[in-house]
Amino acid sequence: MLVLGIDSSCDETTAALVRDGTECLSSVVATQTELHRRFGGVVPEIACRAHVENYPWAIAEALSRAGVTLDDVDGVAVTNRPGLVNALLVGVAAAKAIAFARDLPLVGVDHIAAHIHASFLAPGGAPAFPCVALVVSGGHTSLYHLPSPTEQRLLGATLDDAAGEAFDKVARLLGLPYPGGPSIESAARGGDPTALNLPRSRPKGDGFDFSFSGLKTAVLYRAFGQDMKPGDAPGRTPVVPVADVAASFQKAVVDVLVKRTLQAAKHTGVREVVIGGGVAANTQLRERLATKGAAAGYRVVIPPRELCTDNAAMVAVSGWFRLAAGERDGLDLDCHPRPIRATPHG
Amino acid sequence: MRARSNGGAMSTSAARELTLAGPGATVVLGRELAAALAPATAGVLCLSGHLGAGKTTLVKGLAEGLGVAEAREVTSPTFLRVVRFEGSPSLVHVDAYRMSGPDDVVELGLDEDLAGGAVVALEWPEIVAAALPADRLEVALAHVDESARNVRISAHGAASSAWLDRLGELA
Ligand SMILES: Nc1ncnc2c1ncn2[C@@H]1O[C@H](COP(=O)(O)OP(=O)(O)OP(=O)(O)O)[C@@H](O)[C@H]1O
Ligand SMILES: [Mg+2]
Repeated sequence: MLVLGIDSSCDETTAALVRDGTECLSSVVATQTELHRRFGGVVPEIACRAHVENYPWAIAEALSRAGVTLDDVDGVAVTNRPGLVNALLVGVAAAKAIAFARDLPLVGVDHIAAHIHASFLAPGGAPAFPCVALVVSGGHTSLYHLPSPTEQRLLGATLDDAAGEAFDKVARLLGLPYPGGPSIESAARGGDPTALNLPRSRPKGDGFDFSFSGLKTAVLYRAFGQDMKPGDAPGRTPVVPVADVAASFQKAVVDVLVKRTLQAAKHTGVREVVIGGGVAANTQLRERLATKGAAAGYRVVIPPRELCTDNAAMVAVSGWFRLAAGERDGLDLDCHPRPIRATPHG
Repeated sequence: MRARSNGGAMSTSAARELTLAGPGATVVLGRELAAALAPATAGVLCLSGHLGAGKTTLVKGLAEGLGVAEAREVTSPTFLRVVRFEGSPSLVHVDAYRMSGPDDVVELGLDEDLAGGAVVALEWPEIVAAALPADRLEVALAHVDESARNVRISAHGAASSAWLDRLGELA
């Protein structure tokens, strides 16, 4: 079954073709990062307009790179949650138009579940179930237990900032460009990861929650000194070399993510660990989770970098599970800003 | 930040200033602001202050106090920009950190909420200053040191002044 995937939940206009949930024929990502770099963030109005302008090209390009036409497509999968509704609407409208015109089945997909399903395209092969999955991005930092590919039980999530958000904010404090993930990673090269004494916060309770707001604040004080008087503006020159701040911060985030993920794996008794989301493109995180996980006896499944950041191939995989099970959504498919709420359980 | 004149007379009651010793005190202030809201059923709370000043922390208490969410459910709205907690009244948690200016407030459909449809708690208000209503409570958080914050609460407009007066009576 050949599935066309579409995702417009944030900055990138994406389209992809994936066969049977495992073979990625094409994945087009039209990035708006250049446009947004000037503004230091995502500008909703611009994001939506650019999606409208980019979609016809992105879908045609995905078909052409895959060497197929719409006649070969068996179903359409589109992200309809969570994200900026105005942005989601553009991808959903494109998906509905194609499904209607071609009389193809349509399914809505949860962007977070799709980040987990990107692991089905990992070079070492799909994960086996049950497994534990960490989804870590600019908007999410959550741990799930997956008894099967389509059941996600939330084990814990951030109580304040997402890990990717912490990267972006610390980058801005240090005067490094947006997005913060890659700029912190390159600024950290050659830096001393032990230069700053930063907290590895562990929220109270026996769940698997995360907290990064204390780390963000600690970086502010360690990097700029303790004399943050009321009204003092960060953005001054740090008292510690930027490379050392970046390296210490990155290590603190990676330490916490790796430790909590392996604790969750142990707690649930799984043998496999999966990671996804934009922060999973971070080299330190990939390497540390792979080595520490392997040392503890887990098989760690890490998608290629370009399938960790936002893309539509993961959406095609996620949609394929639903399509193959005979599930369908109507042309009245809605968009939702928030993920499906699941109560955490320990 | 200046209040826009909307034709009516502006009243400004005395500002309150206090020190918050630890995150718990910031959450408690949020709860007290919720308790002081009634009989009003809407209001705009502008939360200013640098990264890590405690804006989101305060909204955890506010949401709890209004009974619309548990503290753990209130996370940073930076990525989403707007998070809604339905209730009576509803709480709309907005973060302008990644917005480019006042037009984004309209783009995100926040005008009705700001016009009295909900309790709006807005982080980084200075980025969208021109889109804010004249009647609003301003909560300015500032770093003192790692273990304390300073907060200055001032009211602009009649409804917010009454809100601030009720907060004073609670203490
Ligand atoms: N009164 C206080 N004294 C000391 N620490 C505090 C106090 N209030 C909050 N904090 C801590 O400071 C940090 C505030 O982070 P928070 O994310 O709430 O700030 P913010 O102002 O929303 O930042 P941002 O600009 O990134 O949105 C948290 O780690 C919190 O525990
Ligand atoms: Mg905040």
